[in-house]
Amino acid sequence: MVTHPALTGGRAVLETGVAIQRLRELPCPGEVLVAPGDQLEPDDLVARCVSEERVLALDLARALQVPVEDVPRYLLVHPGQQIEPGTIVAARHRPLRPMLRVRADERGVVIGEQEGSLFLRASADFEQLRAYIPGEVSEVYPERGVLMQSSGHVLHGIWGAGREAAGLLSLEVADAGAPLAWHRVTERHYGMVLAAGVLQSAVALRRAAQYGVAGVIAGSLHPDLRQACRDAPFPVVITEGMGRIAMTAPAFSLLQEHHGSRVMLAGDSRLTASGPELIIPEPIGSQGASLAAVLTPGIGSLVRLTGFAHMGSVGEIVSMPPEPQFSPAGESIRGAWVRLADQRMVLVPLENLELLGIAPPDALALIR
Amino acid sequence: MGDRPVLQTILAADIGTVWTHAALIERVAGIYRLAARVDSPTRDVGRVDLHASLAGALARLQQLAGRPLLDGDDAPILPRQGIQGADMLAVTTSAAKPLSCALIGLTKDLSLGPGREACGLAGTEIIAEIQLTLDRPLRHRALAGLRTTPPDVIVMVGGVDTGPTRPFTGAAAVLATLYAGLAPEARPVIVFAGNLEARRPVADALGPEFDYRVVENIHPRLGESHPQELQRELERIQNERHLPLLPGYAALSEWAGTPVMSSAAGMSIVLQFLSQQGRYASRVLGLDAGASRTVALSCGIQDTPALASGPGMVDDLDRLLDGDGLACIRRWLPSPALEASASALLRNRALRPHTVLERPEEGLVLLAAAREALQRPLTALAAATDSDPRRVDLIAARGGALCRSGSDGQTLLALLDAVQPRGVTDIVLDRASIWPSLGALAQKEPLAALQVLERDALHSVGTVCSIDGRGIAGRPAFHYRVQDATGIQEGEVCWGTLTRVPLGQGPAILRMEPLRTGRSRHEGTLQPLHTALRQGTPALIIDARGRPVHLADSDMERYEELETWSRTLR
Repeated sequence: MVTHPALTGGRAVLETGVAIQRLRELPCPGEVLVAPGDQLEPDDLVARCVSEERVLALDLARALQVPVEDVPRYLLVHPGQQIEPGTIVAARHRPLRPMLRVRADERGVVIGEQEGSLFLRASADFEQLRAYIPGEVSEVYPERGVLMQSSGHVLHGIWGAGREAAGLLSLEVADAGAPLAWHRVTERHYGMVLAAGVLQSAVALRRAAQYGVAGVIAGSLHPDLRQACRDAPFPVVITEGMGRIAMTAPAFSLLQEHHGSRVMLAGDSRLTASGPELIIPEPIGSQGASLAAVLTPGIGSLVRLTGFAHMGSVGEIVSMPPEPQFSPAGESIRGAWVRLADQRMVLVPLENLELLGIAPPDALALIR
Repeated sequence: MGDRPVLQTILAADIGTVWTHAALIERVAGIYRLAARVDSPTRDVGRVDLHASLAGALARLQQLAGRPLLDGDDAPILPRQGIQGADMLAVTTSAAKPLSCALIGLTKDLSLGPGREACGLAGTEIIAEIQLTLDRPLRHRALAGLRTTPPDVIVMVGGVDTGPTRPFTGAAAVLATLYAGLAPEARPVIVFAGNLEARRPVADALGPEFDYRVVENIHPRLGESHPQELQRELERIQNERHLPLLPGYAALSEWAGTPVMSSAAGMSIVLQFLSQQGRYASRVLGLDAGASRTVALSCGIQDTPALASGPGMVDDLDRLLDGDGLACIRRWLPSPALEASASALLRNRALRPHTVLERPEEGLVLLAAAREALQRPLTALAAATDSDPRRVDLIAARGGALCRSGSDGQTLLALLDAVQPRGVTDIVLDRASIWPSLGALAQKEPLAALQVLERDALHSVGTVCSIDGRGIAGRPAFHYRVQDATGIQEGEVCWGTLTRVPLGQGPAILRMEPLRTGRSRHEGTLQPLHTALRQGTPALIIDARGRPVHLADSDMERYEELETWSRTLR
């Protein structure tokens, strides 16, 4: 039996009607605020922890107007001491002149004095972790986080910027290759997730920030706009790649079907747990949903082509020759013959295919 | 020694950030040979998982080799049980993230500048630079920042020997205060590469809780620079601190018969071997155009290896394309259409690095990017070492961008353009992506590593004879005469051209005589050359484009000459 490991087990770019589980994990040990079985909304707090501490330096020598080596004589606090805002940390009596006092600005702990400066570890703020998806708390991991469970559709991105957000989906274009025009972004989009075929306009991004848009999803992005996306106050998700590539047809259809629905968006994989994705929560069948199945490719599989030559195209596998083939680049490859939407047949390396779904096996595919 | 069992089967793997390369080495008729090899996508869930990546690659390898290599728990079967499993596993990886480094130096130009270069050579990521001549409050605020976000390593540089010590001891005392109460293993390593006199006082000021390491002053006297020891120490810290953090490291360490080492360290061992074997070369330049970083390694018989690194072709693409990077890449492309698509192609390939090239033109763009990526570590290496890294006997190159982007001829041309070697240079490729793991294997089984390297892992693409200087394009420069067992091949080479002379399997002698007739015009004196060519090299390339290689200013002429050179070596 011939197996095709490049495709086997690959995560589908599009998961429709599946159970969705998302691990919500604190960056450091903290407190979990929910219990298993709780029903939550995306903005509900699930856990919190003390965020990264800050270390501050207070220049005592300058404040007390003494040489650095004299500072220890005037210190009123010691290492490890807890201090509150306004605590006098050092004071110097001056004959016939007002006393010089140095007060702490923030709550914290004294680290120590060195070279005329007092170093303080300021009390950190709480870092809050929210549910991200609406649904049920499936499991609780004490001090670490929770597992949220929901159901619906997931569209995975290839690139993302920003953190997580939720809002109503507003599809702004009629065509999968159409750009998000700047003049279409208006105040009515406050709190919404905008969707378009391609994102090519810095002005559109600026207006989206100005009008409080919750997020943007598009098929492709002009490479020069990546920094603008990272600087934007909302997440941006790109599904196909850089340049001017239309959004894959099944992904665009999904967005068309759910125009006006509430969706969740996660951007940069370094800032979010799941990486770039768009989730459309939706209850599914009474039998209950299974997690996204691992798809096995075969004749009839619907695939997205990810190589640069055919990027963004969708087709159907019509043949998977067991023996290596020669690609136009002259390399010996393991590939599949794919029929594109325009009926062209192309040989594509298995590494350049992503499964979108399985079509019913069609024994006549080759001769059709 | 006599009691040691002879290993029959060895597994070797190199785990990169994009691909995991695994190889099966078997002892056949008393000689170790490469029996099978595979490339498998590296498993990456936030961070590279060494165990999962190795298991994925071995699953493919066992399918190809037709024998079980993994048990039910996805662990390699070690030691061998009949035809199942292998006797030993050797692993290297380049998947560890770079060290984050804070630089503390006396002055901006004389201390922090060379320090930055030295840290750059070792591939560290500099997250803070603190100048000790700053005002005390500013200096303290900056040092406090090192406690808020502790780096992996703090490098203290500056001061020629016999220079000042007080600024360093002051900074060390502040660091000791800031990190007081923090467990020793949670503190950054402190590497002192400053003036000789300050070493001891800094150690005293820091106290015993820090991992404090002293290396040679990188700037001991004005006009002198010695970054190599600092560089080696940073590599060592990277291996000690970051490799063990990779998921799956503990399991791999348990299975592997040799310590899991970095790919650069493994490659360095192989290059040292090549430089110490008279039949290959005495001076070797190693190049690795990898996904996470590009490395240039220079090795000589007497010298300790020098290493420089630059941005990688996938993880660090932004840094590669920044500034005039994209323009530099485009000038190596032979058509306006390719120039226009270069940025999109490179960026999309960085998003999906596992995709395979589907058209030859895509390979041209990747090789153009590889030329630019290699330039940076080569320039840094030239600045950091006394010898010219371009004057070498052997160029040994590896990395996906070089070995998977086109024909041998295209790769050879990219290497010639990037390195622009001087004199006679052999060029070999690591097509099997096995050099790093052979380096690791050589630690324990040097004979096996040597036999595989010699027989299966040095893919020779040609010997290059480069003509230095410059002449008028099209005018004759040299007369060449190559004599081998098949006969004599001779002719004239003109300035601005590449000439390819196919060679047979046996020994060959090359004679080059400068043409001193009125037809030849050039700068400098050309010397005749008489040399024996290394056996087994498929072709001699005479590069008469002069040094440095100058591309035509006009786009049309440039496209034409790039096309001609490419056609010559195709």
